[in-house]
Amino acid sequence: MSGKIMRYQQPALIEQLAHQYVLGTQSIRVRQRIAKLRLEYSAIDERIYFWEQKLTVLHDKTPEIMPTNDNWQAIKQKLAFTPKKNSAGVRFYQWLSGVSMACLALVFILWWQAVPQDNLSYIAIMKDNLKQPQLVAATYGKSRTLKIELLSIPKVPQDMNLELWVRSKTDKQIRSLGVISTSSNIFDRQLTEAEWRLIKDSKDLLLTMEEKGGSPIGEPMGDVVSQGLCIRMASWQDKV
Amino acid sequence: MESKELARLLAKTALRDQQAFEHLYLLTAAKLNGIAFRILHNSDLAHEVLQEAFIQIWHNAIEYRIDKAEPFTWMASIVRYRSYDRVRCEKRRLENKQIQEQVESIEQIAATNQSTTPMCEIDQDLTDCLNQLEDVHRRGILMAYYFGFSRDEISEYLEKPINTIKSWLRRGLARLQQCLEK
Repeated sequence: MSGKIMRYQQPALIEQLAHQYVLGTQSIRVRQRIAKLRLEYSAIDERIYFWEQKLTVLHDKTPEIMPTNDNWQAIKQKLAFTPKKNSAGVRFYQWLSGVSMACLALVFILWWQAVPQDNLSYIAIMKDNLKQPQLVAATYGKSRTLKIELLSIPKVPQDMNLELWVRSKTDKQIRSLGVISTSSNIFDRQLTEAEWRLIKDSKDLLLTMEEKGGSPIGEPMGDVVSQGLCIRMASWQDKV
Repeated sequence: MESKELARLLAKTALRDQQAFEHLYLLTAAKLNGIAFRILHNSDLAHEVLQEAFIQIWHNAIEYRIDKAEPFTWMASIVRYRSYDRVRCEKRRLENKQIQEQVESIEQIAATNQSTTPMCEIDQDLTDCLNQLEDVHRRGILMAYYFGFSRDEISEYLEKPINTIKSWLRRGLARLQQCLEK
């Protein structure tokens, strides 16, 4: 282990860096350096989050100051957002789609009231090798449902399938959640009790390209197409 | 501000939902602008920092970790750090009168024996622990965090060597942590 790594594992130094960072007392150059270090050393990252969370309540009484209206316009312009079309030709269409949306909303509300509520329990936003979001996997606790939304469908050769995997937090083993269909962008699947237990113990999810029907050996053989951390939705919500 | 709603909007922002991002802005911009203004003392600079921060939030929403931080804390930290950097960059020199006003407001915030002080309404644990710190430790922490004073500025104002200030900040936070963990 190199001296540099050892150095950034010393609790006193970690604490000192986190203090400086959160209080903002250092120079810009040092801030940038710590910002890089927190990506490399999770212990530094953890302590920065700790202090940010502890001290944030100091701003509860900071007075709100409404920014000027052109502030949002400037942000949109810098991000090159597509302006909303507003020509006379599209107004009727917008009205029509507005009515349709209202009808859909009404149907949705009636349906929502009719079915029992199911809370989102875990979510993983999985990113491809270019770090772009590719797939959202969400699970719902009451119904034990896995909902997959493919934001961009990777090219899958005819003799291949995409297979979803879950990596355990406790034993670090990777286990299959089965192959997933790419015929539609969104689909639901019922989880078995065993699969639900895997989700509850999951660290992250992986999507790999495997031969038709899934990996024959029960562990990933093909390339990783995307991956993402599995986040328990109730973690901080329980605290507030 | 409802944390669950902000988390939902951040998740949708990560998926490049412009409407969700606008909604997120409408819910948080005034508070975040207030934080930037408190550090920068200039509306134009605060607006610039707010714009930069929201651009960063748009690009980095995918990095937000719901298990690590509440959504508003994550966003406010982006604004604070950008504000601190801007203060350092502009080499702000506050007039003595302004420093005096700010330090007085810190004294008011950290007052120990008035039940109506703003701090008492904020968070009892943090209030109690801050109030257990030595005055100079508490003052240094709040001058830095709340108003973006650098160690040099704190040293100049309190007329103490910079190493003393470093040591006060370090000891102050260490004691704050011990107290919060009790």
